[in-house]
Amino acid sequence: MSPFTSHTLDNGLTMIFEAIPRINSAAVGFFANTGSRDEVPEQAGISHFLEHMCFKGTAKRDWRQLSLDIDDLGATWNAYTWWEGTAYFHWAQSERATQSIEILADMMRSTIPADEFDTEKKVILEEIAMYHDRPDALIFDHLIRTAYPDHPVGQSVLGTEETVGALTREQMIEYFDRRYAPENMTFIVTGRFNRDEIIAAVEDSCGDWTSGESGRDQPNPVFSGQTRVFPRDNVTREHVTLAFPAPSAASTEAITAEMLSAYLGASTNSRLYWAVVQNSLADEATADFAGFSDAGLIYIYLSVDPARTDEAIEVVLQECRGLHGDIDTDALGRAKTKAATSVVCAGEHGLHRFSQLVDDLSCGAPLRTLDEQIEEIRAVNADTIARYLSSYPLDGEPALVALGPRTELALTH
Amino acid sequence: MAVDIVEMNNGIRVVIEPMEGAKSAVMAMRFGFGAKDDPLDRLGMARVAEDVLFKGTPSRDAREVFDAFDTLGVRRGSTTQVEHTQFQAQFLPEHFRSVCELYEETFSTASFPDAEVEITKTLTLEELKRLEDSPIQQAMLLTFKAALGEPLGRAPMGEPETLEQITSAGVRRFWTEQCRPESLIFSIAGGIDRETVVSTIEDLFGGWGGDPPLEQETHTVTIADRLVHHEKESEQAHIGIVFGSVARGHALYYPAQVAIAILSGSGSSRLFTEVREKRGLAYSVSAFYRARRNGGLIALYAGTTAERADETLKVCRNEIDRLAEDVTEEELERSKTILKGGLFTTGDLPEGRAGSLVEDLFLDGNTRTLQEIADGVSAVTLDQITGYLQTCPPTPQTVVILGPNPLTGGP
Repeated sequence: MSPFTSHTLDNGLTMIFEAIPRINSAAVGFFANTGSRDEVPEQAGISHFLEHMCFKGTAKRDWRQLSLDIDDLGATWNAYTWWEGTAYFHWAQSERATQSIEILADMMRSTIPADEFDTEKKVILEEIAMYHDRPDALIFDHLIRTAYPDHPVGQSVLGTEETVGALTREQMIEYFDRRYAPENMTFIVTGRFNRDEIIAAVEDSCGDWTSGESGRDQPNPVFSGQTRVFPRDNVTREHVTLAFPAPSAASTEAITAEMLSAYLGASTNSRLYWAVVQNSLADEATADFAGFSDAGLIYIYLSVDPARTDEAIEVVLQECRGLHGDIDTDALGRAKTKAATSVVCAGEHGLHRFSQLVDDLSCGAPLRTLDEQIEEIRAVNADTIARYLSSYPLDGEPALVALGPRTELALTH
Repeated sequence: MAVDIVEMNNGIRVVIEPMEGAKSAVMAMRFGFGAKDDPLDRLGMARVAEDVLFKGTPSRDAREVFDAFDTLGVRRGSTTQVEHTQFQAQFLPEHFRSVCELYEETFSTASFPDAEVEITKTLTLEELKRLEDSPIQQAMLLTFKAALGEPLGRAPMGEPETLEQITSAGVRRFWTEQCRPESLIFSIAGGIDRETVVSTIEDLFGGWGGDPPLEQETHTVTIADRLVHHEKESEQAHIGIVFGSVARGHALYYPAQVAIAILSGSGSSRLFTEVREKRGLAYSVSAFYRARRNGGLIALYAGTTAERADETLKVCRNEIDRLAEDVTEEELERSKTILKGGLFTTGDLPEGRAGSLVEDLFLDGNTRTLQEIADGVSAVTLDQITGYLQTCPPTPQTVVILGPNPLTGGP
């Protein structure tokens, strides 16, 4: 029987529950189905900035009172914004869940206080500056922009110094009123909790939220296999990412993309590990799957000696081409076993399950129990991978981005 | 639930916390050697050994060792710190014995092949270069080095010149000398029972030993009084501050933890409030505790755009100084709630418990249950905080700036 149950309030707010009986804690929070892909280009960064402003004051509490009330619960808390959405959570002992709901719901009706707007803008600008000092993180913005040059999904989550600098409170209020509507949000609880108490608390705190937009209307992103080089003379290594098209996170083939990525580029004992890292070509060569609601990528990250960049890229492309028709079933089996262990471990962790549900909801993927996830992993085999590769080959033109001392690459495909 | 410590005849210590209903188990294996034991001309030795350990035994080559762990679905990790080297595994309990057999085989028969030692040396040099592209991490390593000096301030990765000097024969000798039962702790938490753990470890590791114990030098924590600027063309200035605290087993350990929680780690904490919320000076600002065997320290990090470094440092220092003056009863209670809150979340996971128990046993020879930690935190009073800050005033301090400009205002 499914451990997921759901409930919908009259105003359209959906609630999702997942019971994990062993643990003594509960993770509760809201997922707002609005992220950087819902922004107009000149307002890039508004979703993330708004996430910060939700901590800065409500009709009932100023920022100081909010942080005092949150900390009085002893909760582990945070919020995050990405392409698809924004999520806020508290993770604390089960007895605190209803108090957390009241506070989080209050934050979801932030007044976006005018006198805090400019101070918080400085914090965001510091975050952007910090990100600029981290080329291995920054490069993923460039990669997504390069893979989807003409689509809002390629926009940066943080925005730029210029766009954030120019944002006004009025623009944020307009965005907030439109996007933080009950039919565009989901309440989630995982762990040990009393369902009736949770419903009553959410009803009480969110029942009067008024309607707005829900969802989004966008064409599917179109992948572009271009190469772009971002020269930076204050960066030491050459940071390289390359990506191939993959199915969306909602697709039944997403799990095949995940297993193929692990087989190709898990951080140890994968094909890239032996071909690239253990040949001293890069100190890191990893592959992963990034799923959106309507598109997906298998991407590879390399940290290389600038002088050996071309050679390392060539070896990676060879390994990718080599996947066609040559899957070592023993190695694939090991990748599957490791993935299954990870699912079991995550199942004991209230916050991991919360994040997994947020991910699945944001992409329109079905919610799956741990057993269902393990079943999906087990069903991947050399045949499903071969079928996958005929629809999503890894031997075409990748989107490729290099960031570091190099001003150009000698790419020959 | 009770924590059980078993000491075997050869000195291996085992701490076990069975967790009812848990479907996974975590095992941390900690040796009491680390970067402090690197020969001075071959800094980086312990870390090279930790990495090459898995690159072959007489019966398996590197791939076969990796495959054997992966076949069991083990999630594996390892780390070399200054005073210890730790291996960690998360797995399904039914594989416990096989996992232990693999670690026993690698620990006692690793062959450290020449070619593999050379690969690890090359990769470590590459990682040292990559550190330049991770300025937060780089700033903290530079801060610990400046604060603690030799040998407690060492960075485990070593240096290019010293890595060059490391040979496979040297690594083999180092490992043989350091891998000893009396320096090894097993910490296991999760869905596993005491009997299975004790009998398996006894069976596989009970025969270890025979050599006289290594003489252990004790290194006291002394914090240098210095201000250092490392020039870097970064957007932000990355600021590290270090001052002294108490050791893990000290009577003032809990007051120290509460004092740090008042300073940092939550939205209402003083650093977050003053540096970020009120002034918008930093996105990232935090203070944290680090233990050594014979002492403890508090480290602080703040990242701010270069022109705001002076002001940020001033605000941070003001908060450090003010701590001794005006902690309120309300702040005390809130910080205790936050510390205890963590015990129900990350503290209550197999990895959280295995990590906490190994740290306890390693640093002060004893362990605490979650309830004992909660009680220890609850008992802290305002007077104890004052007492702690008199015993450990936040001076002298080491301040390190990694960024484009030196400070204009001076310390």
